[in-house]
Amino acid sequence: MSFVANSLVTDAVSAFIKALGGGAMPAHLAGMLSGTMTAMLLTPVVAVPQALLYLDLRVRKEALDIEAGLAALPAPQAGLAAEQA
Amino acid sequence: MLPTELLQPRSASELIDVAAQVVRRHYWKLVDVAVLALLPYFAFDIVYRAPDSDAPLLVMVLTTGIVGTAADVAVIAALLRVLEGGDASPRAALGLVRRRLWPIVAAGTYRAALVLGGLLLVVVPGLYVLASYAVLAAVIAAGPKLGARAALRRARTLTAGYRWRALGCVGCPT
Repeated sequence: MSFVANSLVTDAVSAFIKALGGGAMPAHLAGMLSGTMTAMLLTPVVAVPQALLYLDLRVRKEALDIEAGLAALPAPQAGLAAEQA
Repeated sequence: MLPTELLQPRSASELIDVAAQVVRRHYWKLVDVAVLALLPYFAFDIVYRAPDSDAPLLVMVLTTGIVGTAADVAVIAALLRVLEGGDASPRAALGLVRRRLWPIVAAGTYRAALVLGGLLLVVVPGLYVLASYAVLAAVIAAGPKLGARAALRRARTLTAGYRWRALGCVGCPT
């Protein structure tokens, strides 16, 4: 999704520099640079909700919260286990 | 171990709210990873989108799909490490991308082609595909190592029944 913004910014900056009378290549390079920087800055904004959605769906469908809670429990003590046996 | 406050079922708006907080807290660390992951794309972009270039749209879209998936995988891997109390090392995140390159390339290509086809058809199928594979990068980054087909299937299975929410969570930040 950040690449949609990349394309928009690239084209907008290129067109702006051309409108100011700049050559095709400087306009292209400035557009590329600003577009790529936009994608770099926006990638975390787009990726973080994906990660949280993934965790949310795993909690809902696979009980990830219970699995994590069980993994966090301390291991049973050897003496207690022997006593119970 | 992920903090328990993150492992709760949430509504779509709560998810976006928590995502905004997480982004604010760790933004620059994640940008570092994204910068390194996207540098190859910058070189590709300069060549293929040059004023005299006649690269077909499909090549552009597929490359964007692959690199976008790779960058998302790297950022998600770094984020999960940070949330687990570790360090958001770009090197470790890019190492994971390298180890899982085949699923990233194959699944990223497949998803990009489907989204493009769907959007060109009547928009709605493209959005459906986008929602179906909304967690593809997270499946590749966070889960056990899967092949491309298995990762696509798992992403589709996880979002089944929650596709509106998935579309909202992916579309809203955009």
